[in-house]
Amino acid sequence: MNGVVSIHSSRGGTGKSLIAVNLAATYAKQGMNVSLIDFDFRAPSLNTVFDISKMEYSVNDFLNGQCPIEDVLIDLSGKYRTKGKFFIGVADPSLEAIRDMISKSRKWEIEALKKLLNLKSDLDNLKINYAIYDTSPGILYSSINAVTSSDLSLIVLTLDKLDIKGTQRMIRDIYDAFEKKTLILVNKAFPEMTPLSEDENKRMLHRIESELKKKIICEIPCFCDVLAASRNTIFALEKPEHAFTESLEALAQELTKAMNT
Amino acid sequence: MTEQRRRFELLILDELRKMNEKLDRMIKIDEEILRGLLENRMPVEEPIKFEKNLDAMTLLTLPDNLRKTALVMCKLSEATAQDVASETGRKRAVESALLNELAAMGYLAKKRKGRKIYFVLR
Repeated sequence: MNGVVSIHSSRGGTGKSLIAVNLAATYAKQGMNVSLIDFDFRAPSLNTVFDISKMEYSVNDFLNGQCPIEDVLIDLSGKYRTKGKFFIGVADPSLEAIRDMISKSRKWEIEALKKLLNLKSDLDNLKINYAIYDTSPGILYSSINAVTSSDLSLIVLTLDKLDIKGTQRMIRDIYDAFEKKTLILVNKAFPEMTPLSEDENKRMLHRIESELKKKIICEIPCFCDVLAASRNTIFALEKPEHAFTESLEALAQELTKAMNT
Repeated sequence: MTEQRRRFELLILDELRKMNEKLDRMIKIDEEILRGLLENRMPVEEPIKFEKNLDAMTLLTLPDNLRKTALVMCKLSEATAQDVASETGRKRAVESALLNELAAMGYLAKKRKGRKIYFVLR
């Protein structure tokens, strides 16, 4: 297996799930076998993005010990005609499931962490090349468990001061403690129509890197049409010529390099 | 003299009788307490066991050198120092010391299987 990437952020609205979906789709399009798994149990999104109304088993069931991971994965390779296998694991969006997940005991969290630490070898047995974990924003058991069990963590942030300061705290309190390989993605970096000059851009990125003491792997501009598409379009699959898709391809390439170093 | 001695002996006998009565009363009370306990079968309260769990938040509170070992134990649940060393890439003796430290802190239990010592997640 090439690696497990967790996509995390200090707070909601940074575009974390959008990046996770399109990154997974990019790898699948390139011929890699990918599984994209939703670990955001408070606000599941993959069921909506991929229009899944009924599922036999959810990621919740896997963590509750009711089924193996292969029963959770839904194969979308046929639907999107990807070269590689494109699996998704959906979190249960029902109110009862959300309530159940936020009231789990510490003993359950230990079992969940154990399952996640062993998930990479389960996915490896299924011939998966890349696993992408979409996590809950902030510091929650579910997100720390997912981050801890991944090979590399990609933190998505915007230029909002709250994001940068929140990320700084999260890196200090969690990522450095677990000695986690961490990279930063600056999303909605600047308006597409009024880009910064090259110098201004460099200075801005350098300032963020020195504040966070982590490398910025990629910066993605704020594309109005991506926002306007409102999740109805998976750009990486449906708009191959779009600049957003190109940014994702560059990100996928850089992540692959980073996982191999 | 004889009269005086006889009175003294009576006094002692009286005291001994009183003491005997007191002892009889005490034995009776003891027997009643014992009978009551047996009839009611009052359970003897067990001391509360303090369990320490190695969940993700607890891992964050551990010193840096212990965290890596503890994380491997979260994955394996039961392992020898050699098993943990194979995962962390550190020496067996180092892992043995760290595992014993985690056991002393109450996060792990130890058990023997043949000649090997296994550490088990509580």
